[in-house]
Amino acid sequence: MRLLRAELLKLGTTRTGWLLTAVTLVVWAGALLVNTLLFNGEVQADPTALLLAQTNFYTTGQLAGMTVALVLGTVVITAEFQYRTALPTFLVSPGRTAVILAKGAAAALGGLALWALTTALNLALGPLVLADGMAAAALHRPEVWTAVALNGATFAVWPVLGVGLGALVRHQAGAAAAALGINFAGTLALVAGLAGLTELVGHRALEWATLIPSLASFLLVFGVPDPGLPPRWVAGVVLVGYAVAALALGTALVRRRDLG
Amino acid sequence: MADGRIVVSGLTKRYGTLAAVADLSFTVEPGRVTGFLGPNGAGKSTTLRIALGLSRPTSGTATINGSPYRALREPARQVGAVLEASCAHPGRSGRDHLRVICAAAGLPAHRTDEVLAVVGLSPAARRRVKGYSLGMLQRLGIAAALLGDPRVLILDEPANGLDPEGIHWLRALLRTLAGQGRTVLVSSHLLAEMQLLADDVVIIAGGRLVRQGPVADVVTVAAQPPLRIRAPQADALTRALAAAGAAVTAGPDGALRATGIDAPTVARTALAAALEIHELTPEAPDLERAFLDLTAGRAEVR
Repeated sequence: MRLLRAELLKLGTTRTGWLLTAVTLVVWAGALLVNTLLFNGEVQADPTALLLAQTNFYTTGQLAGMTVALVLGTVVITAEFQYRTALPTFLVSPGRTAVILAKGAAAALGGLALWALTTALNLALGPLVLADGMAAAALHRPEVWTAVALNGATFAVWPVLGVGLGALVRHQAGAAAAALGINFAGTLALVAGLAGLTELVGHRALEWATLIPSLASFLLVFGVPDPGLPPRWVAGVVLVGYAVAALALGTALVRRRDLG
Repeated sequence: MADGRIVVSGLTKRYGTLAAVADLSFTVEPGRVTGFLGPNGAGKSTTLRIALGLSRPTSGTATINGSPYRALREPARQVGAVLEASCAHPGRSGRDHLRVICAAAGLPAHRTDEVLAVVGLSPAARRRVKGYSLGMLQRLGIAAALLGDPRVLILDEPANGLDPEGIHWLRALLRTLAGQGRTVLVSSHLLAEMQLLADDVVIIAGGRLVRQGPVADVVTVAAQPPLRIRAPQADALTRALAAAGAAVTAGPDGALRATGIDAPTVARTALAAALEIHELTPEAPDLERAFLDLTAGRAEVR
C-alpha cells in the first residue's frame, strides 16, 4: 500500500495528470457531439441499432479515454527514467517487482478516474442533449449499465499495458508516440490484415480480431455483434492477458537493468 | 546486524571486456567521514551504485550493516544516499518530492518539513524543482537522504554546485553526523575540501584500490613533502642539489622548492659546497599531492 500511495502521490503532484485529463475532456467533447448527433438523427426503429446507439452514447469517450489511459501508463514509468527519479524510487524500494506492480495499480486507478469522469459527464448530460425520454429509456436497460461497467474495466486495463510499453521504450515522448501508433495505426493495420485474411480463409479469420487489443475492448464493451466471433468473456480474458504480459515484461526489463 | 560498516569485498564489475571495478576491497567505519577519491573513470560511482543495489556486480560483494542493500529491511531508515543532484521531477515541488519518498518509505510526513529546515530549503519548499539552482538541488538530495534518519550516509560529489557558504555548511553537517556515530562515505574531487573534512580516505584508480587509511597517514606516507629553501646563492645551491639528485625549481619569491631529497641531505650538500641556507622547511603534507602521486599514470581514459 505504501508504494501505491507513493505512486498516486507522484501522479497527483505534477501537471501530467491534469494535462491528460484535459486531453481526455477535449476529445470526449468531440465524441459527445458526434454521438449525440448520431443518436438523435437516427430513427431508432431497429431495437439492435437503438441499443448500440444507447450504449455508444453512455460510453462516449471510450476510444479517446482508452488511448489517454494507455499514454498515462507509459508516463507513470517513463517519467522515472526521463527525470532520473528512478534513483530515489529504487533506493527507497529496492524490490523492483513491487514497484512495477504499484505502478500498474496506480495507473489503473488513474484510468478508472478518467472513466469515472467521462461516465459522470455522460450521465449528467444525457437528459440535456438526447431527445425527450431517450436518456431515461436508455438507463432502464441493463445492457447499457453492463457496457458502462465494462468500459471502466477497459479504462483500468489499458494503463497497465502502458506500463509495460513504458518499460520497453523508456523515452517519454517515444513511448507516448508508440502508444498512439500502436493503438491507431497498429489497429488499422491489423484490421486490414484480417480483412485480407478473411478473403483468403473465410469468416473464421474474424475470430482472430479479438486478439487485437482495441477490438477486444470494443467487443467487451459493446458485446459481440456477430455469432461467429468468440463470446464477450474471451475479449475480457484477452485484455487481462495482455495486461499481465505487459506487467511481466515491464518487471523483467526493470529488474534486469542497472541504473547508472 | 546494524554495525554501520560498509564492507566492499572483492568487487568486480565488467562491461564487456572493460573492468570498471576490479577486485576492489575496502571497509568504511562508523563515526568517521571517509573520502572516496579517484580520478575520472576510476570506478567510484560504479562502486557506490553497486553498494546501493542499483547495479549488480559481476563478482564480489558490497554490504551495509552486514547485508547487501537489496536485502536491507526498511533501507531508507538505514542508509541515506545522494547520487545525483538532478533526480527530482522538475514539475514537482521540493516538498512534494520528499513527500513521495516519505510515502514510499513509510516515514511520517512531518519528516519532510524537518529535513527541509535542516538543509535550509524551507523557504523554497513549495517551489517547483525546475526553478532550483544546482546548489538547491544538492540540498534537496541531502534532505532526501536524511529523511529516514539513517545510520549510514553515502554521498556522491555532494559539494558540486554549492557556493563557499554551502560547502562550509555541508562540512559542518557531515562532521556533526559522523560525530553522532554515523558512517559517512563521500566521494569528491575537491581534494583540499576532503583534507579538511575526511578522517579516512579510500583512493582508487583504474577500478582498483590504491590506498586506504586515515588522511594523515596517507598524505605523509604517500608523498615526501617538497622542501622550501631560501639561500643567498640560489643558483649555486640549485646546481649542487641537482647534482645530489634533487629536482629544484625557483618560486616567484626567490625561494627554491626541492623534491626527491630530504632535509639532512640538503644541509649536508650545502655545507659541502660552503653555501649558506637561510630557510629549510618541509611544506605541509597535502592530500592533493598525495592523490596525484598515488594515482600517477592510472588516470587514463579506459
